[in-house]
Amino acid sequence: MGGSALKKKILLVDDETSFCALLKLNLEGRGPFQVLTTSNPHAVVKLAKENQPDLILLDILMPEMDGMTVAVNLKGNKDTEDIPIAFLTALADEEEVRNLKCRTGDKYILSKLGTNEELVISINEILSAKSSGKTYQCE
Amino acid sequence: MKLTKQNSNVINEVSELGKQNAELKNAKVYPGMSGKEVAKSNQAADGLRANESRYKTLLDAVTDCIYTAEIVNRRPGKITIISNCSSATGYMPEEYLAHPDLLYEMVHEEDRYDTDKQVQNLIATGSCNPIEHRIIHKDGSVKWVKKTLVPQYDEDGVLVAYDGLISDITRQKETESRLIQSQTISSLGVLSAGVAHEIKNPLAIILQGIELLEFSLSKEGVNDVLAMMKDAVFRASRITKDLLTFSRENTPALEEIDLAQVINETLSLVDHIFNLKQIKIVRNFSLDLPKVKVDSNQMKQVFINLLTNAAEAMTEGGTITITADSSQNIHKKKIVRIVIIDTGCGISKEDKQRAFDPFYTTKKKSGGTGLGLSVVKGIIEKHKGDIKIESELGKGASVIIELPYYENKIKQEVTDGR
Repeated sequence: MGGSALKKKILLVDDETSFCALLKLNLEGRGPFQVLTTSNPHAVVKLAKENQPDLILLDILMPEMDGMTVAVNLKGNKDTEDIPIAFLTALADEEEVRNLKCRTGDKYILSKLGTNEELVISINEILSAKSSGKTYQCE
Repeated sequence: MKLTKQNSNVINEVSELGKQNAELKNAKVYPGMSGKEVAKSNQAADGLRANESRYKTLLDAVTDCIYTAEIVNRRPGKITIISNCSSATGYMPEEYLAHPDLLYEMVHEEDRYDTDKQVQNLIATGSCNPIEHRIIHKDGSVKWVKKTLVPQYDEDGVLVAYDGLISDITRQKETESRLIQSQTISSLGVLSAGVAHEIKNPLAIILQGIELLEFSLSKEGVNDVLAMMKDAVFRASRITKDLLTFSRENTPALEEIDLAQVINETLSLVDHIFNLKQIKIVRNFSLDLPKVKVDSNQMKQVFINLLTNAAEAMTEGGTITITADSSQNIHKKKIVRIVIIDTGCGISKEDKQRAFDPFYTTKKKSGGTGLGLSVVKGIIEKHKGDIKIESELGKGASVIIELPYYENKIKQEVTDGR
């Protein structure tokens, strides 16, 4: 598994298990990504701590715990506080994104209903912003 | 409503005065009367004059149309008195007196049964309930009126005439109809928001599935099918997005702004569409356009919708003229009026009537959801404004927006052409 070291590790959190499974296959097929998935928001901090992903893709509306709370928990833990978080949401129209930005500060917000090509571009931009120490401005 | 109630009271009082006058008229002075009898008769004459003066004052105070119609052989006869009829009906008193059937003929054809029944009830039982019905105003427009009838009896208790009161309730009817529509839209909105959110997640799963198949199968025929499926997902996604916009009960974040600037900013957003379709834009903004208190984002949404609609109606180029000036509306309120005129295909009468109805679209094939103009209307109404469409098929369309304004004025350069 020599290539896996080059692969960027993404932790995908979504209560829809089918969505997790399909997006994992799509992302891994389209880029140098290794995607871990979970539909249990309570397990996110532990998984992030153990796997140290390069990025966490986080659903917002989840029945057991909403994505905002998960993000607060991640930022509140010294082992996970530096991992960039992008909210991947089905909400994402312009106004909702504006409202979410008000609530989440500079977090990234990506649409579940965009194409994977667009998603991969956004993910790469976030990852390169992280490695260069810049802040990626998500539209 | 208050005025109508007040007018009903007046008509009852007028009727009572009529009875008193009939009694007073019987008290006359004859030769050989005693001094006491003459004094009593003179007193009666004074009373008659006072009552007549009061009668006239009361009639003048009434803003609605009042008339008296005779009853002959238990059937309505000619009109003997009519006043204040021109504002509600457009006709002058002399027109009613010259054409006794006019009062009947002006009633909307579909409502004549109800108005006939009202008079028949009055004749048969001596009373009848007020009714609301439509009339055709002299200018050809349809007006709603409320008609109240009060019986008049002679000294023997025989029904000889009736007084009628016609109140113009067109505005009240329009408000009622708008309220019913907005209540329907509101409940529809709550439902739509829930449905839209629930639909988006399964759509995201379908989209991921399609993209995975595209990626792994990569066969020409299959990819065509998958592309069609993907288009359908994006269309459904667009509908849910429009539904969410439509259902939002956002209170506008009001700020005093220059509407001309908002229009210019919006034009720059949709500029590419006009360039592509070779559409010329003419801006005709008043130099002293007053500021309006509006939510600029919501207004941009309004203009984007209207401008793209106009562009879609123009298949072979043309001109969109946008005018902005200040004026007074029919209720004498100060308004800024924005008119967007296109030279496109125009709108049929039926489409015009339903243009603001949610989910009504003539652009289903090109992915229209029928919510754009509903959203626009909702925004304008939240700003206490008005919007209407004037158009004929084949002759372009004008969308007229009226928004209330405040006194501070700003300077705006006039820019013509592009």
